Order: sequence, then structure tokens, then C-alpha cells
Amino acid sequence: MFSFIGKHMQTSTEVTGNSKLKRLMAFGIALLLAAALGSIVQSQFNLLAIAALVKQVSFADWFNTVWFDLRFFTPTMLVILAPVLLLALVASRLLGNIAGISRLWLAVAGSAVGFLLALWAINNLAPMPTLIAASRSVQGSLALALCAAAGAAIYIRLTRTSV
Amino acid sequence: MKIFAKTAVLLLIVSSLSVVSSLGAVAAPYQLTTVAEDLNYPWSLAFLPDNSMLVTERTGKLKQLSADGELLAEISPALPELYVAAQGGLLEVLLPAAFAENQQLVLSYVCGNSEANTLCLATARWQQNQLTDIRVIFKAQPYRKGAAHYGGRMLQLSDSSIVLTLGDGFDYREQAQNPANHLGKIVRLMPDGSIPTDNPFVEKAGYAAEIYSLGHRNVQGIVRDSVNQLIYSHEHGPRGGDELNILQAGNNYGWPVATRGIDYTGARVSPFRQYPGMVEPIHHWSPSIAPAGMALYRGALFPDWQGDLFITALAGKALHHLQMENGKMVAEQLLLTELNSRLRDVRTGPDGAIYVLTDSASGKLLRLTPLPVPAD
Repeated sequence: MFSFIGKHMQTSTEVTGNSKLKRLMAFGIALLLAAALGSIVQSQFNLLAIAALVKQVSFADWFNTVWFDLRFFTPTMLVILAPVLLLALVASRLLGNIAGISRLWLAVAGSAVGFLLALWAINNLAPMPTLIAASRSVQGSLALALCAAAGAAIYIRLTRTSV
Repeated sequence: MKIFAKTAVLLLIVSSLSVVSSLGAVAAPYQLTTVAEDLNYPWSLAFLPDNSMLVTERTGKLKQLSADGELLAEISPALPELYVAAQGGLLEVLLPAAFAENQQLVLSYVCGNSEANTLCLATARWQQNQLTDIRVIFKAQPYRKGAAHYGGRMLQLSDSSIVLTLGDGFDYREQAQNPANHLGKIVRLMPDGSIPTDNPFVEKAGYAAEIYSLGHRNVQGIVRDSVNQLIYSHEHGPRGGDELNILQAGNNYGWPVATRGIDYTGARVSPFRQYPGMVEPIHHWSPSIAPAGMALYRGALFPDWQGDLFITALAGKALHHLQMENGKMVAEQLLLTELNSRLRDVRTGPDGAIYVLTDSASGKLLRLTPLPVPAD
């Protein structure tokens, strides 16, 4: 009997450990995809602004800029997005259990609103008026917030299928 | 303000210890003296005919100092709508050539409020250590939100017109290419604020008549080399891409289309480093040094430095000595690095010394002079 209990406890621990690892991996993937998406989106805003000032931006220049930003802007997006996504996911879990509202929508809305709040806070604290150029416009800010929301949706989707 | 009657020599700087040279040049030794301290974010310096000095403090005061740093006068000019915040406030004081006759000086400052502000230019009369008859002669258009990138440096040309540098307002960078307004431009005005009839776009539809050049980010240094008939200007890039340019009327200097800098976030501002029809800098700094003032040396104390440029750097915390030959930089040396201070402005004094303002709430006025020749 003791050996059965010991074996059972060991299996339960392994399951819990695996679940945490999968959630951690899901968070990492969601964060990375959302940050990359945000990078691609902000590149489009910047490139469209430059394209309006010149005769033409070639496909190669366009592609190279997006690729450059993926490598060098994505870390900035990761730093902003990580706490926003984490807080939104934790809050959505707590609120979802209490209020019985869909966790997906809570997480998506929480991430989007959280990202907008983070932009507002950064722009008030940073020495420059607006840190991310693409967020100078309402459209740009909302587009970036949607990327944050996409991160939350990706996490929910990944954890639903994996657990 | 504490006065240094016998100015204390802070540092004796010998070239090999203090100089970083990109092309192997060696700096002449000099000594550094603190002339005045406790200056609250000093921004610019001008010499009066009696060799005393006017120093602007960005926080709104104008101080008159004697040649040895004694405080002679301290006033808070009643500048209409003065707005002090972040990079905004009282900026430059310029003494035009006619100052000796009419005592009229020109002040650049930021006017407005946090929601709507711009760079203003005012003339005033300096009489009996007071400013009177303050008149606003120019307001850059349009007003913008945020307190960054105003430019604010001035240069008087030989025809008495005044060239005024402006900034792009940071959030409005694309407007530097819009010829209909003053954002990201250098403008040229007469001392009474009127527009010179020979400005490059004065009769061109869709262009602001005051524009002298366009495509600038934040120009905070401008000097004229009267010997070689050149105007140099420098401007802040974003992350990298600070530029030294030779300024010519009607030119487009590229920002934000052509730049060697990237955004502070790591994103590209533009795919282009150069672009047809846009003028390239004669020198650039990446990473940024944040150039904030500039002087062209024609004094008597440093014969080897004739015609060279001196540029103060905020982020770079150094005085950049650029050896120039016929409009080309042939060597660059970093001076005053041992101070580890943000440096705001640099001027050549009537005595041939080089004067430097540090940038802090307790800023200093420093004087560089040659090392004394040892007695035999």
C-alpha cells in the first residue's frame, strides 16, 4: 500500500511539473510571437510614414527594415510585453474563476488594455515624448495593443490543447 | 554664486593622458580653470563689449558675469509665454553686430504650455543691467505638444540676417520634410523678424518663406567660418547618426528619410542612409555624442587650433576638437573627458581662451588657456 501511495505521489508531481513546464513554454512562445508580431506591425507604420516622403521604397528595403526590426526592436517589445502579458493572464485566471467569464476574452482584453497603459506610463516616464514611434497615432497604439492581445490568445490556445 | 578671484586651476591636462585621437593627432597642452559655478542648467554664453559675459540658464534666468566670474547682474526676463520643461526654457542669447550701437540682443526661448508650445525669438534692450523693450519677433509654426527638440541656436550672417536653428519636436519627425512649416528647419530672419527677400524659398508656393534649409532633427550648433565662407551646423541623431553638416541655403539634410541613426527602441527610422537630393553630413557620430554647442576657433592663444571646430557633447561628456582643412575634418580629439560632465556650450572669448559650459543644476563655466611657459 505504501509503495502504491509513493508511486501515485511521484506521478502526480511529475504531472504538475510537466504542466508548469508546458505553461512556461506556452508563455514563452506566446510572448515571442506577440513581440515579433508587434515588431512587424510597427515596422509597417514607420515604413508607410517614410514611403509618404519619397518616391518609392523597394521591396528589398521594406523587407530588410522588417528583418532589422525583428532582430533589434523585438527585445524592446519583449521587455514591455512580458509583464503586461503575465499580469493579464494571472488576472484573467483569477477573475475567470470568480466571475465565470470566458478566460480567453478576459486575457485578450486585459493584455490590450494593459499594453496601452504600459505605453502611457512609459511615455510619461521616459525623457522622450513617445518611445515607440508607431504609437504616436491612435491607430498605431491600437495595432500594437492588438498584438499584445494576440499573445494572450496564443497562450490560452496553447495551454488548452496541451493540458 | 561663489566667485573665484584667483581662479583655481582644476587640472593640468597633458595631451597623452587626456586625448583620444581618431587619426593620431596630439592635442596641445592646456590648463582648465573654473570661472563660475552654481549655474542652473546654463545653456549659452555671449561676450559683452566690456568683456563681461551674459549666460542664459534654461530655467529662465539671465546672468551677467565679469571676466573673472563675479556675478554682476541676475534677472528673470519677462519673456512672453516662457515655458520651462524638459528641454524647453530660456535658450540662447545672441549679441548682434549692432549691439554696441543699440544695445539690442536676441533671445531664443520656448513659449507656450505643455499642450501647445514652440520656439520663440525675442529682441530686448540690455541697459543698466536690465532687459527692457522685449519684443517677440518670431514664433515657429506650428505649436506642438511635448517638450523636446527645439533647436534654438542662432548665428548672425555678414548681411546682419539671423539664422535660427529649430527642431522636429520629436514626435513630428516627418514634418522635417514638410516645407510648409518650421518643424525640423533652419530659418533666416532679419533682426526685426522680417523675412529676407533672398531666402531660398521666399517665392515658392507651399513653402514657408522663412526656411533656409530643411530636413533637420534637432540642430544645436551653428558657426560661420568667415575665412572659408562656410557655415557649419550639427544636429542630434536618434541612436547614432549625429551629424556635422556644411549648411547651404535651400538644401535638404535628409531627416528622417536619410539617417545613420536608429530609434531608441532599436527600430529603424528609415531604410535609407542616403537619398538622392538630400545632403550627406561631412562627419557623423555613431554612437551618439549628443552635440550641443559649437565654436570655430580664431583666437590668439592657441595658434595651432586656428579654424578648428570645438563641439560640446552632452551624452559624450567631452569637448570634441575637430581639426578642419578647407571644410573637411582631418582629425578628431576628445578633450575634457576626465570631467565626466555633460557639456552644453562652447565659445571663444575675446581673450582667445575657450569657454565651456557644463550642463547640470550646478553647472560651471570653464576656461581653457594654454599652459604657462615654464621659466628658464
